[in-house]
Amino acid sequence: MTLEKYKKIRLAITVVIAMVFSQTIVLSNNYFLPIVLTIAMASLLMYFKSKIKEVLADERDYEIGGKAALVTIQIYSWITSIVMFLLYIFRDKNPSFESIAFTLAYTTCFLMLSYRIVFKYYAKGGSILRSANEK
Amino acid sequence: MKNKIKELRTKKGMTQEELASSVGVRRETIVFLEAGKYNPSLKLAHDVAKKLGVGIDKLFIFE
Repeated sequence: MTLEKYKKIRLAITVVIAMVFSQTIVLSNNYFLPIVLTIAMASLLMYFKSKIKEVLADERDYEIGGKAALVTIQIYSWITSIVMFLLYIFRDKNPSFESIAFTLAYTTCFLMLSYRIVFKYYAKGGSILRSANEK
Repeated sequence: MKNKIKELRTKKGMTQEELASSVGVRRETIVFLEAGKYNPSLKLAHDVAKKLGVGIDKLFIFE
C-alpha cells in the first residue's frame, strides 16, 4: 500500500467516524456505537499503516518533532500561566475562576513533568531514533 | 555544509525517491540534504555515501 492511498483511507474513515458520532450522540444519545466504531476503525488504520512500504518518518522528522514539541510546551505553559494568574486575580468576580486557575496550573505542571520524564527516558536510551535508523 | 549528493546521484542515474528509499528516509530529507539545509546523522551520511560509492569526506565538504 502507498502512503497516498493510506491518507485517502484515513480521511474516509475520519469522515465516517464524524458522521456516526454526530448521528448517534446528538440525535439518539447513544455512546456504545461510537466507542465500538472508533476502536474498530483505529484497529483498521493500524493494520493499513503496517502495510505501507514507504518510510513514514525519518530522523529529520524526529528532530523537527522534538523541537516542535518543546516550543509547543513553552507556548502552552506561558499562555496558561498568564491566564491562570489573571483568573486568580479576578477570583472574586466569579467563584469558578479559582478552580479553573488551579486546574490550569496542575495541567501545566503535569505536562512539564511528563515532558521531563519522557526526555530523560529518551536521553538515556534514545530508542526512537535508534528504531528509526534500524529500519 | 556543502555536499555533492545531487551531482553524484545524477551521475548514477538515480532519482531522489530511489536514493531516499534505499537509505530509509523520506524524499523530502534528500531534498533538504542536497540543498545543504539539513545536517544528517553519521549513520545517514554513511549510508548515502555508501550508496553513491564514495567516502563521507568526499561527499560532504566541511567549511
